[in-house]
Amino acid sequence: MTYWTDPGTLQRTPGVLLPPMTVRLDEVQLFQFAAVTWNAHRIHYDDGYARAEGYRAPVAQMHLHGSLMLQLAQRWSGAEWSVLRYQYRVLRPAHAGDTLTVGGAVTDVADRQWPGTMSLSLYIAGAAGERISVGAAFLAEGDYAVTGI
Amino acid sequence: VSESASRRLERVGAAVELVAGRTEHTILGPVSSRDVMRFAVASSDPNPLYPARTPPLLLPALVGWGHQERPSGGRQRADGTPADSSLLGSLPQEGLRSVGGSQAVRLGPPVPDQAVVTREESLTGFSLKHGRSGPLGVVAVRRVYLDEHGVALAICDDEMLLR
Repeated sequence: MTYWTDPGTLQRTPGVLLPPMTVRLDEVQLFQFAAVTWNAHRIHYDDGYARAEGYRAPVAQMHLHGSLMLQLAQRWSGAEWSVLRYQYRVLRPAHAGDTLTVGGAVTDVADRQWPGTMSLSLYIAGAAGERISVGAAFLAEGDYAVTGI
Repeated sequence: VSESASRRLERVGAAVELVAGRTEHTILGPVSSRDVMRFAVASSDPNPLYPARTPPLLLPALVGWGHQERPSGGRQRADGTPADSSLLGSLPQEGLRSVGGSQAVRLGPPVPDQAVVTREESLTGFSLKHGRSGPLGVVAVRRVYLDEHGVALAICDDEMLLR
């Protein structure tokens, strides 16, 4: 399987759904993500501590939620597109052992003010389809043709 | 329990007010291709453009980099987070649970290999909310990541939730 979505299937039209991506979280990934981001909070890698805090297993980091949604956006948009702005919110925790669906849709495409741009809505859903996190990304074609800062 | 949590959260709010307007500068150190690839592996993101292009959340996800100018001296709270003299670390969070709530990011150019990144951090607000599960404190944090030439690589506005 290649990383990028088949360009032949790309439809940059508002309302088009991005092909969903399935992810299964595990303890090793949560530990590695905590390590590389220097996040020492025990709820992310200490099963006993996480359970004592009321979670059913170690909890995914907020930034991992964000990274998973951005991965879908990048896979779908292709190498020529870059993320300029992004916002997301965690609605409920995701745990080690959970299988998640990452999805999204095109919400807007290039307009006269910002040619070569588009906006996506993104989400992570749990096994029952419940929203775990939601986000929105603004992308531009070319290597940072328009700076977001 | 609820009253106690409210009092603790009010203390956090007062502490945030005390440091309003202060900006903390932390040298995170050089960002290497290895850092990029480790982040990619931990994110399960095999993007073939890495490390030439950096993952958008590489810097915004960083809590630290392990070799800040001012080490915490090993002091930490029961939950593993550092209790130091930094703006966030100095908040009176004992007895409270903290989790990330949301993040808004504006991205600049890709992070050059070996760029020495500095983070400017400031606490920009606090709000106390009362929900069905009890009181909730929301600490707003702004982080700006700069390279050694002062170019903004990312500007992030985070909300940290305390309950």
